[in-house]
Amino acid sequence: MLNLRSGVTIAVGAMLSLLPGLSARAFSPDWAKPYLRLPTPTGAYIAKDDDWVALYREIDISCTQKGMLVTTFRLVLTPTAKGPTALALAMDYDSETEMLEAPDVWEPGILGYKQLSLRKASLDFPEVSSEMITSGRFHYVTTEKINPGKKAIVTWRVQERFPFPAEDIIWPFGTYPTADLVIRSDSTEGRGVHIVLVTPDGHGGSRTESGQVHLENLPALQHVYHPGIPWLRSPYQALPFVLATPRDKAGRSWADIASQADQLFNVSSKEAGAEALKEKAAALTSDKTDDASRIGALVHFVASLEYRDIQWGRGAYTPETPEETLRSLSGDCKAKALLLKVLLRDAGYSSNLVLCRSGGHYLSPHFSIPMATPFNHVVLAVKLPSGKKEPGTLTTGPGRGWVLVDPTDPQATFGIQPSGLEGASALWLASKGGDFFHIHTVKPAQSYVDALLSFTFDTAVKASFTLTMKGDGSLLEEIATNREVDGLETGLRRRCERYFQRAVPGIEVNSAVYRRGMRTAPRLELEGSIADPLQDIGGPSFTCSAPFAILGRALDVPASGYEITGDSTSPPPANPLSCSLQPDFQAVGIERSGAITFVLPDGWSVQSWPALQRKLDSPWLTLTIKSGNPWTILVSSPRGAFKGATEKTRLADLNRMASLFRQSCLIHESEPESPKRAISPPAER
Amino acid sequence: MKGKAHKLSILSASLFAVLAVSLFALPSGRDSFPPLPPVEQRSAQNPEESKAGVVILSQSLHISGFARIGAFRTKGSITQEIRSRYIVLDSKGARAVSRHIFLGGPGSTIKEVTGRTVTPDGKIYTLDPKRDVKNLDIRTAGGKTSRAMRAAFFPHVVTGSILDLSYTVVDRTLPNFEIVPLQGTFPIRHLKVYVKGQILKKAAWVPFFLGPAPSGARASLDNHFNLTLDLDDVPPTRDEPLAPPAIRAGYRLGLMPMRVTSFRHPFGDGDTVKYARLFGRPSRVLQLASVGSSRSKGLAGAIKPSAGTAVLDDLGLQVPPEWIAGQDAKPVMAWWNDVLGGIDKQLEEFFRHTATAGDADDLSSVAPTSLPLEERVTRLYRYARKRVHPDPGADDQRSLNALMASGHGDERDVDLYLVYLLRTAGIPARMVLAFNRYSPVYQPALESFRPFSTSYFVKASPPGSPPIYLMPGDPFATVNTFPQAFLGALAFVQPDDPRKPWSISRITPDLQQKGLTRVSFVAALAGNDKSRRLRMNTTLTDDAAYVFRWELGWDRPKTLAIKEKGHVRTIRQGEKSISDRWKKVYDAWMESWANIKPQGDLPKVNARLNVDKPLVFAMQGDWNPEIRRIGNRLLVPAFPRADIFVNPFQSDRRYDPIWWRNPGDYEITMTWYLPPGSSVEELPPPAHAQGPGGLSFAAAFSPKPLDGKGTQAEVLCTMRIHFPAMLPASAYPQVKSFYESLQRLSDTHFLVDLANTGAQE
Repeated sequence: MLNLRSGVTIAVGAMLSLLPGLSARAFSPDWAKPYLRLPTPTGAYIAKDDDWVALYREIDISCTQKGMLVTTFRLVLTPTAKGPTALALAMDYDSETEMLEAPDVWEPGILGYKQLSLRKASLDFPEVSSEMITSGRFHYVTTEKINPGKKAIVTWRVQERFPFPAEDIIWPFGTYPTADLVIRSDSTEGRGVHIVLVTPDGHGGSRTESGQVHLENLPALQHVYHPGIPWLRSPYQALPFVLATPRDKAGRSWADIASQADQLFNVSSKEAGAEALKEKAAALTSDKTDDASRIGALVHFVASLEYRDIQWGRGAYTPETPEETLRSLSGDCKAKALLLKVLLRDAGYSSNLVLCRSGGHYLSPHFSIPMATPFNHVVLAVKLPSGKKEPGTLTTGPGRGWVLVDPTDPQATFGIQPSGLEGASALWLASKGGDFFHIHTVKPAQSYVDALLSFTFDTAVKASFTLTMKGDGSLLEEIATNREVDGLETGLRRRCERYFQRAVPGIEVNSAVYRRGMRTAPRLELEGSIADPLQDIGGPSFTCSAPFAILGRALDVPASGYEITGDSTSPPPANPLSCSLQPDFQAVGIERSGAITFVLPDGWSVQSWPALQRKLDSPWLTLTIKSGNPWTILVSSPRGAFKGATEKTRLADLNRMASLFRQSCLIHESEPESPKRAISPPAER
Repeated sequence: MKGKAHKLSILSASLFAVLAVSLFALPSGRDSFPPLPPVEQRSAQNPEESKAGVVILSQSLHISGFARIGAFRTKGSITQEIRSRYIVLDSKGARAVSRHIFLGGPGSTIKEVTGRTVTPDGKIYTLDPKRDVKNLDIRTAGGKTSRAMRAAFFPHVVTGSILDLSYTVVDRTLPNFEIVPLQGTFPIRHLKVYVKGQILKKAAWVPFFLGPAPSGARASLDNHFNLTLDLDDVPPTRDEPLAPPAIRAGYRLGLMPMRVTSFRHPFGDGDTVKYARLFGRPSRVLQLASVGSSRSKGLAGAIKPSAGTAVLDDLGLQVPPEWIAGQDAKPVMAWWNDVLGGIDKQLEEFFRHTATAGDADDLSSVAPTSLPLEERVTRLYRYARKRVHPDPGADDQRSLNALMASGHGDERDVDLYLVYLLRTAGIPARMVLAFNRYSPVYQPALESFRPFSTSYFVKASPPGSPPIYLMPGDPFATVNTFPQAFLGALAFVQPDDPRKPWSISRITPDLQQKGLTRVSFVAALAGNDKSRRLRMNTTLTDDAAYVFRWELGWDRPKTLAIKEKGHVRTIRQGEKSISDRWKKVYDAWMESWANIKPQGDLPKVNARLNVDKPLVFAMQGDWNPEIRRIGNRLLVPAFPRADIFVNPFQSDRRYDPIWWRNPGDYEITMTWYLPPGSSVEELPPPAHAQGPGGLSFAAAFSPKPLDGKGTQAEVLCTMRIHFPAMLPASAYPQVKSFYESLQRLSDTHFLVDLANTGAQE
């Protein structure tokens, strides 16, 4: 409303706006000349919804005297759409460890190159969700609309700012398909770079080529890989990539990388306030009498600390000091593992840091070349003086016989195998003797959920139940993450009630107790009731679905069934290089076991139990039911690659399994003279 | 993946996550913090605080702005200083505030971020700006900050901790219309807002509430428009299912820049009416205490929500502000009366030169007076749409003759034509301009239609009969259509005498919704659980058809993106053509009714065609119902799993009224064809339930003989449901119980005896 502007200001602004155009001509992208006359390419690798195609893409990688990698991207693009189209470019970078030189875009014309103004269409913003804050940022630019037949020339640059991991992974796929890609090391300045192409062979291995990499006819990334689809392997197994390292770091062994990473933790641990940590360790273990309990108390304390967002403080690779973690009562995986290591040391126990790759489909890639980038998590292996084997004791790697602990997991319990790490790629950190291995423990359990339900028909219109749950179910994880304390809590009861209500109308949870011991897995005990548990289907028969719906929710089976997440509608690309879609791969393994015990009034009997007409016994999903009272179910879906499996077949099987928990049992009332309960809606009662 | 593809959806999702952070996402403090509160204040004082796990004990907000006109440029800035004190009530609350708290605002600079955690044992952990505050600024080209954002991480948060936070946001732009949200994520025990009113030599921010006024608010306003506003026990924003939008019911302070003739005596009789809007409806007798000396006279007093310029009732509907017709309201209503009066003049101009628009003689054959009134109205409605096709993309016409010549008209032109026809036929009719109740409440102080979603209606109001609302200009409306978004809505009604101002009233919320949604499923039973084909026939009439036609959209590119009446939505992202959209609509329709995807060709229904007839289409898909074989019997579910049966309510209590998005009547039938020779062993008894406001369902199950000789060849399961448009929050227990019964009943089964079919177990 008070938008008063001076005409003079506008005039000066208009003059200033001419300056970028003048200065741009001094930096004309002459390197692009050979590609400007190329015709618009065609081919199966260009999808219908690709608005642009890169005629030529060049990625130059150099290394500064200080050993930092510098990656320069150069592209010549042409629109494929029939009408004028804007060019949109998005680049992500880590503001802690990388520096982005924003892109320049030119449009070649008769009189030379016209630099396009990106001032009004440039945005640089943080990668933020409500749960996580990292130092990741997006840089997003769009141009004005460009006519068909024209070309656009783009360059930008990314420079490392941190000497670790001293390598870079370059994915050959971009926002737009590429006709011709060259990735090469630029050794004109600095130390020189070694590059190598790593391609998957379809069996988890890879082959490598060194020297300049030249690839053709590459589809856009969104057509070869969907990170949101849980069926896919890790991109490190599924996609070809180029590994770049400073020449003097080329040929590093796993031990070399382990040693370099170990140094980062040593620096932080030396900064620690020794006395405060010793006091804390002593306070936490003073009333414990045996080693396992003492270690358990320390693990319990560190696991209970708030997870602080990755890269919040010290950067992506340097952990916070244990002192700082104690001050803030929070930390990321690096900080928590380091604090636990120091507390254990002060309490007289040995432990060792283990880098690993966590998270669903990222588990267990096999790397033919030692590299650090794929690791995204740190856990700890603890040496138990007695040497006693616990379920979480490692059976592989340099730490065979040590107990693996993941202090980032709020449910971590010493001795119990960490959740979701079985089979993960790992690197044992040490100044000497570090090595790569795959994590396997004494009890090689994958994720699991157990639930026991006792269901009692108090009257024809009301039933009561008790439910005990343990394992990796989402409700238990949510409670652990929210640090619900032991004992009865109104908030906990409501939280549980809401969790079941959508699948089980009329359910009331009267009490909820969450128990978590130092040495026992967390468990949740619920007691509650259900109004109108029976459906009158005529004659002396009823159906009852509530117990099975409760058990399904307890076992983490979605009430409405499973869906493929992400966009799986694009067909697999024809290009052999991008043999990325591996629908035979099941990333998440989980074992579910449940049982329902019915307590029925006299004269009632269950005539039929939920069942599948056809057996469900595929390599990726086996289901075993024992009908009767108790009714038990065991569902095993292991992780791995299964020949003949597709997203469709596995989704269908998962949904068949889910359908069991929507079924009812058929109850027969053998005393017809007893008053039969009618369906009586609330208003009529 | 560096320098690589990233879907725009990821970008936009992240961006929205950042932008969605409100000013009140969390609180503030400064180098010196107030003394710690007494112990009795450190526990939850009400259920709302217990539920949240965190309470903001106190929050203060200082807002000041200035503008300076110079020789070469005009400078200005807005500064907000925010200080908050939280109390962590339980472990859930500890988690809610310990991870990170977003700080930010519309400004480009955040400075002076200070804070601390005081643990229950009295230890103090100061917020370390280097370690605990992260810069998340959004930048434009050249690294210039366009929106300042910080995330603060309180150290050492445990249950019982007190957190203090203070920061300042500076926006280097000219003071403009400002919106100050007064609610946030957590309940606030005490909120104090200070606004420095004067922003220019002769301009000030005039405060008012954009929506309803909070209860218990107290305010003072001095002669320089410096505002002090105090609120106690401010509830947090809520996200309840089927609730009116927060933009309507939330507490928000508006600051309107206005020219002030004098700062010496701004609250003289006339100016009180003009400037004291915060205190309620304009009145010369505000019954407020005058404060200060005679030279610096100000106002102070408690604010009565019931006397606010915008008041909501227990249905979330805006109470018609009758005061706007009064003399005192003239300064406030001047802009509105000018605009609405302009419409009258336009209408007058429009009706001139009507040689080809039809006269009374013509109309006597179209709608003879011998017919019942409703039939006459219906005929004239159809006649109008036949002569002038409703077309949202049509250009405005200057006169009726031009409109007739064109044969196409936009919403208002066709409405006007019908008004003309009705009046010519002797039926009183007028234009109505209604405010969509899903948009912000009508607030006269805003002096603009832009914040609101409005729609024209024709109101035929013959003497002695209830009024009939018509939408002839809407291409998808039938004569019976009335979009539910306008039930209970406020509306300006055209006066009989153009010299009088338009009156404002409320369209009755009880206006009968005449649409029916009929979904009929058919499937054949086989003796195993192999996938079977489910056929689904849909018939939609009137309001139900209207909604679905708008879902399908208008198939001409020029008008595809127009605002959709009653749904306040434009074409969705990612749709390049009308067929893209149709596929999504049909897929979603079948998924919502049967939880399966349609297969085969999708219906080819053009939403623009045969609008007066029911919308009918058929779809089918592979279905895996949970049918179980029990010896020689089959246990068969009565209905497919439809979203409409699922209880959306889980919480114990409800604060907002319940607004159904698609009220009206539903009829869902499932016909099962039985295998030859089979028979129905048992069928569930019929059931029904009724709730408040006409909420009801009734289910029936009946065998249907094939040939009249007693062979049962079909089972027909029928469910009829009626949802009212809205109910108050007080009806929540009954509504929740109703839904629980409905969901249970929808899961019912029946038994089929296969003994005589020859099927082996």
